[in-house]
Amino acid sequence: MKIKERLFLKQLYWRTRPALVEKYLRGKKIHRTANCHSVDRRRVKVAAAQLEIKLFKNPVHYVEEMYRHVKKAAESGVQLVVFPEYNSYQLFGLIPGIESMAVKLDDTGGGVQSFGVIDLLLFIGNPFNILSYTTFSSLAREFGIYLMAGSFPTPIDGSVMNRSALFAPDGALVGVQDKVHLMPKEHKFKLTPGSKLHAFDTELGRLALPVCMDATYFETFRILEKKGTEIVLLPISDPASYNYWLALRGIWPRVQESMVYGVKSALVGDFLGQIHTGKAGIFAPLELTPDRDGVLAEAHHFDREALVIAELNLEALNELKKNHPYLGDGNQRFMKKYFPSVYYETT
Amino acid sequence: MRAAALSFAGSDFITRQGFKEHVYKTVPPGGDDELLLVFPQHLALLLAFRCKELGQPLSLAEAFAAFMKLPHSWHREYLNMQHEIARSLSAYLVPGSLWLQDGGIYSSSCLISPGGEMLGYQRQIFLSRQERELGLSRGEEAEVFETGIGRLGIIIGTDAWYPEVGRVLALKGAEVVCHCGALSAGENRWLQLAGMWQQVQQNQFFCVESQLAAEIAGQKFAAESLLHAPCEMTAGFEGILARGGLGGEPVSAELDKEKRLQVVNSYPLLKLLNPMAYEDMSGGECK
Repeated sequence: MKIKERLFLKQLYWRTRPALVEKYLRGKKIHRTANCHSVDRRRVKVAAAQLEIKLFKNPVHYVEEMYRHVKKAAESGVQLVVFPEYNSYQLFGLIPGIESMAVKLDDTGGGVQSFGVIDLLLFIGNPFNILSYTTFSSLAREFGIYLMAGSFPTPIDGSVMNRSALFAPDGALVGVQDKVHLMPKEHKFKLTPGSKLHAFDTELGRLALPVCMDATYFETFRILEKKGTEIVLLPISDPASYNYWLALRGIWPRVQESMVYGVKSALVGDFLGQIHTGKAGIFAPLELTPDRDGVLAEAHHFDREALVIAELNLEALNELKKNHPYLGDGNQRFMKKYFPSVYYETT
Repeated sequence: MRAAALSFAGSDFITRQGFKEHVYKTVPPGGDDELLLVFPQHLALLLAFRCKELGQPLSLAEAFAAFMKLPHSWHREYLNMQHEIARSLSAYLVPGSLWLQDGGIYSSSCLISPGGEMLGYQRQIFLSRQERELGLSRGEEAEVFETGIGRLGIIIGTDAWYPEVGRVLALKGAEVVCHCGALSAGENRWLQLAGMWQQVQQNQFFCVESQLAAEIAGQKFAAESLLHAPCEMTAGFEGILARGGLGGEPVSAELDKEKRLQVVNSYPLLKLLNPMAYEDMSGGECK
């Protein structure tokens, strides 16, 4: 590493230090809620945040932005808030000249330019994550609620995973999940996929936090449901124009076939010239939604900030699973015959 | 390749001859060279009911019970009639579902060639609660049939909501999946999106979904028949090439194999699977 880069990194660590976040939030004099003091499994109140991308040049502005969303949700009695994928894009504003640098980034990840995206993520990943993790851990503890912080490019032994993280009301990290199915662009950028899906026990039920493209594949939700997951938290960040049908191909059908609740957060807006769209939403099996359309709440717009809130009835979900007229059947012989061998014997 | 689904809405046949006449009136012989024709679930049951071969059942459950007691020869005769229809129309035909005995009783369908040859059978793999209570058995294989018009698979009834079935067919190379369905009359839009629509979107094959539109022993069946394709090759990205059938008309569309391949090549969903993460898929409880 050159001296200039080393100095910049040192400065970046200083600017994203935990003490800064903690001091800033202390100044907010946050009133801890009682939202998670007693949990009624028939009324678990959750929120999905839709964030508009803003590049912050001051890290405190990032803390303030997350604080604002969490405060709004917490004051509405929410027990769990879900934030979007790549929820540290905003911190790219801390990199001097990032706007002009973006056009020089090697889009193929192949190293034609002086450095590729993966190099940048390895460089800034840790200091950015220190700030993000401290922010969400502190907010979870101060407000006394669960926070799924979204996902972050996370350097691990020279690789970069797209990793989501869940914090408990005492600020502790409940668990993390590495994105298992990468977008073609993430493959090009040389990110590394996860290889295991996890479920986490919490006072609000058994939760899982796969990331974005993971919801394109039924396998994700099927495995998580078999592990006892009741609520799937899905952060997304979709760099494409919004289309209702294309958006419907993700979490909505997965919730229907696996009989779980789904909470989708979305990152929207312009990130270095790439327009991201999406609608945060809270989804349930058809039978558990008032209009029998599988939707409990959804953002009205795909291009601006929103917070959607709904109550989940985990007891009703449990009853539905026991008595569903056509779902929930098993066929061990069929499954053993084809899974997982069919994935390796493709035409 | 042209594909069509029939719903049998508005049909009033009460004999096998009447059945054939209805089909020939709806899909006149001598049409397309390469036609794939799909009939709905419970079509054999409907025929047996209309022909008074089930006695006078007062409910669908009673009709099912009587249908299970029909001799094997009845189903053979039904299939012989379908062979004749396939030959007359020069069509690849998936003749809806019937219940075939072979150790257990299986809700099954099959694929018949334009020459009237049996190309193979497919059994329903996952059962509804009612089908389990009736004592039906589960199939264990998902077959893909090599034909002159491409590689075809069949999904029957409840299997539409089990993505495992579509995934196996897709990984075995199915280009077109034929679905024999029968949904109770009512608001079925979301149910159908959660069924074959999503199977098509996550596997990028075509689907010819034939839904029954008729009444059997007081139970009304009615849902749109749909021809599905990956969103990227349909108007407005809806994922539907053609829809209808509730007025009795055939629902048909041209299935453009080249265009589908372009979609698959530009967004190769199945290549982006991550089997390393699927060790818990084989069906055991992992909780």
